[in-house]
Amino acid sequence: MAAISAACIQTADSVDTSHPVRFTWLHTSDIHSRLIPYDFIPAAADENLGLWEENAPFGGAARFAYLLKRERARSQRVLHLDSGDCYQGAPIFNYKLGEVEMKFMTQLKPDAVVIGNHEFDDGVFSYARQLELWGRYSNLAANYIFPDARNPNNHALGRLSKPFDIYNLDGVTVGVIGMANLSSLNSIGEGGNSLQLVPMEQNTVLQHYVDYLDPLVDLVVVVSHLGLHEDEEAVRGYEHTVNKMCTYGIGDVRPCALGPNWEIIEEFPDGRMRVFIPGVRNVDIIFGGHLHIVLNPPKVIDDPNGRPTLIVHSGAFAKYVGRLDTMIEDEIGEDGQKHGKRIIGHKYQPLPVDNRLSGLEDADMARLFEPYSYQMNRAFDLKRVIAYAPRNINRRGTGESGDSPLGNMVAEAMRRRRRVEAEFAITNTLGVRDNIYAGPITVEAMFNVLPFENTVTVMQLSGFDVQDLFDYATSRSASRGCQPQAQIAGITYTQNCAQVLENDRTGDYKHPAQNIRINGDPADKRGCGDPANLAGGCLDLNATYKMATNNYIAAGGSGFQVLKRNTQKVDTGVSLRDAVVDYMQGGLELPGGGFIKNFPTCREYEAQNNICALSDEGSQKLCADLKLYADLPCVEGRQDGRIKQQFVLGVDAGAVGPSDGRTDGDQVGGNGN
Amino acid sequence: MATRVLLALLVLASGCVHRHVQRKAGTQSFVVEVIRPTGDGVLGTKEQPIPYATNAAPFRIDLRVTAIGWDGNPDPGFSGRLLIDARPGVVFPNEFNVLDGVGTVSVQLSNSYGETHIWLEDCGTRRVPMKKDCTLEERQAYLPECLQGFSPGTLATGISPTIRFAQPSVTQVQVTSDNTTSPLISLQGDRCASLADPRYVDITNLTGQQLFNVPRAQRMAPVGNIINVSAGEMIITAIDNEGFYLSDISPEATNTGFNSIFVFNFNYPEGLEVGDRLKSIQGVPAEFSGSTQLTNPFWIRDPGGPYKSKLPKPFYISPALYNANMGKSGANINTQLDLERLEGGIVCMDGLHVPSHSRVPYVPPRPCGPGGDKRCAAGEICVGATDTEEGECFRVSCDLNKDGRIDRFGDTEEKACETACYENPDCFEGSSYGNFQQWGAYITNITTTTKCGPMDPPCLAGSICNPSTLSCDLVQKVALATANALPQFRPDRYVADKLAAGEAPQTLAVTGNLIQVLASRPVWLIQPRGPEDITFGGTCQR
Repeated sequence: MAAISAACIQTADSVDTSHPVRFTWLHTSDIHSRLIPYDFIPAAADENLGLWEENAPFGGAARFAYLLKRERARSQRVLHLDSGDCYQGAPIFNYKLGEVEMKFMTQLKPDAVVIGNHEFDDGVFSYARQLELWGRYSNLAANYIFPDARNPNNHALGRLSKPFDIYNLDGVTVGVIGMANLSSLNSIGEGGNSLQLVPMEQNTVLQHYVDYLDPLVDLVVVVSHLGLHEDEEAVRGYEHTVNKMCTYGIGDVRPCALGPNWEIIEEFPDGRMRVFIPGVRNVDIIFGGHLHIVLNPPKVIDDPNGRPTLIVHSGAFAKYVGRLDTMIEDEIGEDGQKHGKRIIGHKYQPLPVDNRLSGLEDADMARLFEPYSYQMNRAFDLKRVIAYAPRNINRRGTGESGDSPLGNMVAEAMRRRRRVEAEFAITNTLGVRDNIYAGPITVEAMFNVLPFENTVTVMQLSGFDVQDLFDYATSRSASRGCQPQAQIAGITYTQNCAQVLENDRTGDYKHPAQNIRINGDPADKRGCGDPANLAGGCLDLNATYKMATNNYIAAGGSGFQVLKRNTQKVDTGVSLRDAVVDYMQGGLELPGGGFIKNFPTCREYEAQNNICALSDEGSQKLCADLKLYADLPCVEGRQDGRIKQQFVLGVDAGAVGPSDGRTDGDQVGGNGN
Repeated sequence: MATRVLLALLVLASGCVHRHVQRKAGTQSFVVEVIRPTGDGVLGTKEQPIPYATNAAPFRIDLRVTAIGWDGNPDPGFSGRLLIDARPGVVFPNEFNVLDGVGTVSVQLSNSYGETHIWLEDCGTRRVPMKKDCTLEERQAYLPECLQGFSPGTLATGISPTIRFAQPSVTQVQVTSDNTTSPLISLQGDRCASLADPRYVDITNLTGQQLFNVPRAQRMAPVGNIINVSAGEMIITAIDNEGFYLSDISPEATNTGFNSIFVFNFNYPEGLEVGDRLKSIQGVPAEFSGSTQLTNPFWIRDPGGPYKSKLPKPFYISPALYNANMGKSGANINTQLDLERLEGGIVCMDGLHVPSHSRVPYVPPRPCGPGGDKRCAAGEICVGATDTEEGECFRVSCDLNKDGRIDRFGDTEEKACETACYENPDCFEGSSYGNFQQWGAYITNITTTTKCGPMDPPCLAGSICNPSTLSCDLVQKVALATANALPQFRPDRYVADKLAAGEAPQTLAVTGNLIQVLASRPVWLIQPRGPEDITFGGTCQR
């Protein structure tokens, strides 16, 4: 086998690489359909990476292509690797379901691309079809077992993908292994397996391919969509809980086969055991994605042999092209023989894709894209203005509560939808993909905010289920810095992240979601600690509640198992995006007749706030806009404390529990010193 | 076995890609040899690294560079300029010339740590005139600051042997001369990359200050560098939902100061508690609004912990010390580093008053509430209104256009409001509290000689009359972030509620981590760790 594969690699006689030489890697990731330049306001993290508001718009296929061509020309040996998730995130995907992204990627000519999780958003058959029609690049996924593509009932990914590729660049040989996403593919592990693929444990399969390639090539790199945490675990190893016994067939129950060198740490009486899966040796670089972050500089982690592995992440949304320059030299083993090459130095620079590239766009890419852009604008009427935002409506909260203005609005739109009219609503925070920026709100902006084709789902939950639901949301939030992972309407609660940590530490479980009130007042500080206290809408565990949510988490997406098992759900078929637009433009009919708009017109807004009376430049500009859009709804987001956060370890949960009669200002635990 | 066969079949089915090797001419790389220093271990070893080199005492190294062709032989055909770079660290000079394939250069290295390499790169020539209005004579004389033009390079590169420096201590990360920037944080991007785009300014030879004069729209991301701190004795002093604080409690570090830092982890740090000792911590130094932090951390914990008895005692900040470091309107005095020295560490201040709401001086009183359609203006709230009685509008938010920030550039209404509110002890600036849960408590026992008796003029803005001494006390504010530690305490209502209950408001003694936030006023913030860090009517241990 090694001989056959070695024959694929031409050895170089005419290039001498015995001295240290330079090898350049261009890395892109998570482009998410940002093929048209777009506006957004860079946060501090992006500003630190060279993305400035005054250089908007950002991204765009033609500028992206120019930058990659330019950097290839400014390199000796160079490979371009993409970490997947080119799909989903802008209206062009909703319009053509990946055809344009596939053509774009083919034209970009990457050397290898790994499959991301959003490539499956329109279904695996759609992805395979687009790949077959338009994809002309190396599509990698070593950790998926695909079904037989010759069976017409199966998709063709098995034929269109491979686990690795090998390259020879002027005498330096490189093996590139693709590691596709595991953590965000709900339908793999659950009933139905609509993706028709079998995922494999990442470290075991990766070590297998590394061991195979390592004798044949100078460098072994991984292009990954696992996520940073999993990339690190690939190098360091990790602990995992597995079953002791497995069912291999009818009546065939045996001890589960463990991977090579897995170490059993602990066995539990319930039939599970804790194992340590060792890290992978001899990987030189992991080019990762999925988390949309930039690592500047790349992380350097030692593998189990003490050999350093670089981990590179280069952002998302076509904001950056990552350029990694490495110096490599012959690696001499303990036997005094040459064993490939090793990296002795590296430099990394994220290159912003912004308006500084205006006028330099790649003409071929622009020509590819133009007809689609024109057709899409006509089909969706993307530039139509539906409302006006006097200031940003952010999808993340600030200040004293965890709810976000935009999250509140989306949840409220679901809750109040005609014929839905639920008691409360919940949506996942990560389903809201962008802020609404100050200025006219267009159809296109709403696609950026809510790109997924989610629909509103209604279900009936018991009080116990509601408690479970918010306990899960709190646990999930606690693993993300206590940033709320759910946005709500018609309900308030305290997200006690400190309690989640206490539960993990002590094993003495207390509900981390506290003071849950349906239709309660966010300003109501009374606790719900006593289950008998139903004042102010405190959750009644024995009652039934009507809830609105989106069909993604209703099906158990993002781990919302309590919703998945519910049998009382009805998918209304109403697009979540349409519900939010209608909410902006609509209002509430009063029982006795009459109508209250959800938002005032801009004319009314200006009269209420006297913006035109302020002399600063920003206010004067706003004044002019309010006059221009006088008859449109002026939409503001509002944070109102419906999600309270408790962060601090060691704070007595009773401090925010039932009212204890203390007035504000008294110290918890005594007075004076 | 079945799995291996399956995987083997997959491998065979994968095919492979290869590129033909082409004969190339020209320069492929550079061989770099050290001429000086000479001797064993002069470039440092793992066991005995070279001490960390500063700008004042750089490490000097002489290098010989030989161009190598694609056939592995010396290439005498190369003549040109090479850029010099250090990873990590700062290097001088930035470039030198190679003639007929050979060149030598003397280099100074500073702020390098761990395994360091000097890169020598043929990145082409890109020059933008640094001096405007260069005359024809100056251009013809090839005055460096008047050169312009671009020619692509071969990207041939050489790299020095590894130079092993010691890793920095916490103090060496945190120390600063200007109250903000750590010397370990690079200000520049990769100069080789910056030559690629004609829209990026060539930042050759720019100092840190000159770099800030470059319009920010032209800048590139600064280079990130990883450090691995293991020196001293690092104890965790506080943990929150975004990371943790640690202090180097070794005697030398404690005496020097600058020995504490915040480690930003995006989340609670798994497996750590207060009092734990870290054997090492790896991370990327970064500045966040004036506070030096370590980001992207990876740590190794001492399994013997926690060592609660080793937690450092809070440093008492007296009003005099605080006042000596604070400029007008809550900003730093950049030459005063007493508070910077304490950044990230545990401190205590007492005698802190909670402001009541009151009129910012230039806002006339205005009634509001029931009894008519009376409204407060932007930035004001209606205080004291009941079902039957009117209240009064108080200006409490200086974010007048509600864009989430206070516009301080130029003479803006918001800036004037913020300044007036800062100097008025009773003014509670609501937008900082609403947006960031920070609020300004005030201290007043900083006496002056200005009298304020019945026959004396009133105290100037920024001071109030002390009824006991009848002299004007300076007002300074310090920001507090009490919401996480004491969720039920509402500073925006404390005084009013106390007075309504017929009780006297008490002063606070607050212990917590000291943080600098350049984006706020005042810039110094104390973040208590829990309810035990806040006492009403208490004092700090001196």
